[in-house]
Amino acid sequence: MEKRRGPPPCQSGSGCSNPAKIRKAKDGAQLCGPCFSRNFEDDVHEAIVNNKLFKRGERVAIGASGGKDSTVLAYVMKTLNDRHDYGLDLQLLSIDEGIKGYRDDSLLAVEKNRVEYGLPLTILSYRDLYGWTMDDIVAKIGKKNNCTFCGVFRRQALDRGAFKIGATKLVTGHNADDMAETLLMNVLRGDIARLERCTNIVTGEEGDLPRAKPLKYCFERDIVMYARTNQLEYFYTECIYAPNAYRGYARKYVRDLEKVHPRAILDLIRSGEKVSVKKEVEMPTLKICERCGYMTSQKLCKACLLIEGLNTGNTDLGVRKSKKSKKVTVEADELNKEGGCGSGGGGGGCGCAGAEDAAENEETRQRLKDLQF
Amino acid sequence: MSTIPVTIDFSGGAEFLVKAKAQKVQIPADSTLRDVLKFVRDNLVTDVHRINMLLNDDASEVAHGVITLINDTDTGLLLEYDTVIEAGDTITFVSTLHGG
Ligand code: SF4
Ligand SMILES: [Zn+2]
Ligand SMILES: [Zn+2]
Repeated sequence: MEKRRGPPPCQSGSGCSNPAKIRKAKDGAQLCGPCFSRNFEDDVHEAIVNNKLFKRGERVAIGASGGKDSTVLAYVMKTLNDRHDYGLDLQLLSIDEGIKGYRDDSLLAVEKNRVEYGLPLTILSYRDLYGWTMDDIVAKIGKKNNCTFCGVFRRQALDRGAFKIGATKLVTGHNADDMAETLLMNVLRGDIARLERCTNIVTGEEGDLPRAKPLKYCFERDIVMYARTNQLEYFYTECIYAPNAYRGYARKYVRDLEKVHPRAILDLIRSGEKVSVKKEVEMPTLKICERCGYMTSQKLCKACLLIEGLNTGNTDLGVRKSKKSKKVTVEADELNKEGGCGSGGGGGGCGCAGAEDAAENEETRQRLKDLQF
Repeated sequence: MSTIPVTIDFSGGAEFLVKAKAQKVQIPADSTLRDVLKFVRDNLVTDVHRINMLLNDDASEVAHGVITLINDTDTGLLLEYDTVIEAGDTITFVSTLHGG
């Protein structure tokens, strides 16, 4: 029988004569392993430089979950910092939600990164910060609003951790696929405030620590192939409390679009970047939480409200009871359906990119609601 | 019918859906990648409830988000599903959907 035809030669244009092994999902480029890695790194470098993400001498916290995105992020950040002399002081920051059989294992993966990349690692736990683990919370409230708690807690925990290690910026592993899904979800639920900023490469306003997403233009498939090519080990078990999330449907839809039109993901992101909404509502001025000192638009911050609810057995998501409590409850239900992290539905992973979205989304809703009532 | 030895390897979370991460098996000679998908469905998948995370309904294609490699080369650079499998090949299924 005739021998199988081999792959085409690497198209990197740098005189490489290796056979191609990888077809880059983002642009279809046919590359060998080393050229693909370099090409991927150059993309991230370009995003960093074009958007002036960092300042020389800055201490940058890398939000590390042990999953593929943050593992690749940490490796690429370290590689680029060395190669292009960014002069950044990189540190790993992990949050231990207290989920047995999930987070404890994934933290082992982060621990490995610490050793292999020689980056300092700080771990903050929900137990220490809030007195409750996710296991405790689920035992108390069931598997219903757990991701809302988790999202609010994580957001604040990352801020606190970054502050603790003296970082002036936090980077997270959100990728192009995540962003396209989030964009779509915000369109579907009419969350204009969130829609407007969900594709920003840097977020964080009003005293929030700036958060940057250097992998914003990287496709999930390419991230996986990058990890594989560079033999990066990552953790890929689902959170045991993952809901069957809305995100799962958005994810499937985006993937289907991508199949017929590979540029769909980038096009979605570009649409998001073009959206700008007239400011019709003014955001409330921020105060300091009376209990913990975190910034808030209320007397107590969101996390403290939730903790209060847990401690007093009033677990209606910490949403302030008001005359219109009926409405508030509906909103909580809605959040439960829509929110949540990337876990679940369609097998999406939890790096809890989505949980963060839920938190931001809820914060936005809370703010808007405060104005209405 | 003559058979050839190949290794079928699962990673990125796809290994949770099958008997073992890497398996040496005999498949019919002159099989294409498409035949391998059916072989995987009929012989290797253990988690039948989540098989849709690996293969589409009639096992004619992999689920979107799964990358297939032959000897570490993306099958998109070969003849996709029509690629003929040779003795000693390693066929890898990489899930990109798990974890973040
Ligand atoms: S799925 Fe993600 S957000 Fe939800 S409980 Fe698990 S880790 Fe937290
Ligand atoms: Zn090359
Ligand atoms: Zn507080």
